[in-house]
Amino acid sequence: MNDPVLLAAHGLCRYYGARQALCDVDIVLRRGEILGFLGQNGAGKSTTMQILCGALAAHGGTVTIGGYSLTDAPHAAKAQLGYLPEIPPLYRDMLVDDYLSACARLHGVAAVAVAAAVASARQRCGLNEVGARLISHLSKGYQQRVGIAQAIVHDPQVLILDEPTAGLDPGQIRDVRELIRELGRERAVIISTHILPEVRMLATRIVILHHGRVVHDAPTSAVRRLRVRLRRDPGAMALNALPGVAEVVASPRGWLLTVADPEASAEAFAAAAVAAGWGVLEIDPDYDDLEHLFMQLTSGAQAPAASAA
Amino acid sequence: MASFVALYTLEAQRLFRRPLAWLVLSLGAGMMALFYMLLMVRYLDQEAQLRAAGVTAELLVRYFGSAALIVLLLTPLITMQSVANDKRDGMLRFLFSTPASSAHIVLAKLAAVLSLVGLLWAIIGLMPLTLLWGAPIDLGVYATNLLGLALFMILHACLGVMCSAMTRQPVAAAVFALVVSLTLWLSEFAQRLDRDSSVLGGISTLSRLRGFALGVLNLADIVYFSALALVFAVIAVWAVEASRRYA
Repeated sequence: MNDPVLLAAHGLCRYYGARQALCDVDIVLRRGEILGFLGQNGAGKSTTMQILCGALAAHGGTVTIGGYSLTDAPHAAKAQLGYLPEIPPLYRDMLVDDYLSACARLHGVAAVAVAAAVASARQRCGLNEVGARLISHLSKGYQQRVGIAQAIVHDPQVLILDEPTAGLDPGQIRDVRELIRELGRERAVIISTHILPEVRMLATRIVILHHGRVVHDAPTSAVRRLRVRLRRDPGAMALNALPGVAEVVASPRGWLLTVADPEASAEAFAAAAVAAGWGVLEIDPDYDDLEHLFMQLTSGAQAPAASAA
Repeated sequence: MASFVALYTLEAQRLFRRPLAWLVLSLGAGMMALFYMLLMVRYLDQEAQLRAAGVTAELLVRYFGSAALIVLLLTPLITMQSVANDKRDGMLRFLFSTPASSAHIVLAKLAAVLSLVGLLWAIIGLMPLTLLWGAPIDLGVYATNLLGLALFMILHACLGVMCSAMTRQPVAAAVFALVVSLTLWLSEFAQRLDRDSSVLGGISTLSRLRGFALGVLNLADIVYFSALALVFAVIAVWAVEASRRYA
């Protein structure tokens, strides 16, 4: 956790008329973190993201991006930010290349570097073949990709993506997830989506918002579990003794293992199970844990107290 | 400044790609050409003693008077989409997330509108110069008319962008701009009904243009057009910023 803080929001509040849409929201994001931003419709996710990128003014609280205050130095702060709203911001009467060039210039990319920046964004988002086409003539999936390309064309340090895989086909979804993973290694990324397995796959930390308040803020690993089904029962003790396993719970569909790193633990578990002759029938990430947590925190009438990371 | 230039380039590029812009431009140029021809025919049909007023007074001044009316009617069509469309499509939110400030956004859109309006101004301004081939015209009066028309156009561009910044509906923006500009234009007639009121005549764009038409450069008229344009531009910036703060 020595990576620099790229985005810090403290005490964000926002009112729509008399209704309080956000209350005392804190978000801190470091380089290399991908934050999954969850909440029911109307929980305040889009409002928060719009405030974080300066598209909406907060009625209380502060936002700093890359060390620059969004209020005092908006130009420097916003230059380090890429934003993809829920509906991709596209001028449909423009060519893809012209639009991306305009976005690059708008974000302060030097004139001599614009062509290279556009070529790079186009290549990363799989838009090489449609650079000379009108945006209005592209399919929804391609338009979504152009939306992502405009968010990364200026190589921002912080990326805020609202429903980045909406409207994409399975192949495109896989590519975009890989792109987000790659971007998240050197930057700070916030993704908001209703697809919980997507958050589980991509995010390193999860923030759940309910009624405008943060009700959960913890690393993804805190709720990370593997579901395993075995032909022969090894017993909880034997499973608990495996490396990387923090907790073992029996369930009607097998065992639930709480692990630090599901990928590494799955591999280690498979090797141990084969060696011990337990007969592995199934090893899966347990996506239900996040769903369970989400429902637990957001379905009650009263918002639970915030749990800090 | 870089974000203003980038935004202006984007807006101008988009504006000049719209068929409506070229339609308005050709409509304006076509109507002025028609007016010019009708004024020419009227002048040539007049008795010799009526022609004594000269080609400048009888033709040039009337021509620029018609031009102001055309500009008044056509400018709302150019400005109506400038901000309202972006508000409606959510593009204004996107622009807020870029380094461009609300002032940059409004000024860039205004500059793009002025580029198109400036083209119309150049076409209107060049047309009467053809008189130089056959008749002497007072170039001083010509220059003040040209200046008056430029200030009138800037004022209406600012008014149109302001109206566009206040709504999400381009048509509503055009109607609003037309109502305000017609009110400003016709307030002189209202003064004729109420002769005690000097305010109505003072704010009338028609009466303010009269000095320029006659070849008189009045500082008060220049200040009037500039100050009113500035007020409209500031209100437009405020309206755009308000949609970020209070939406």
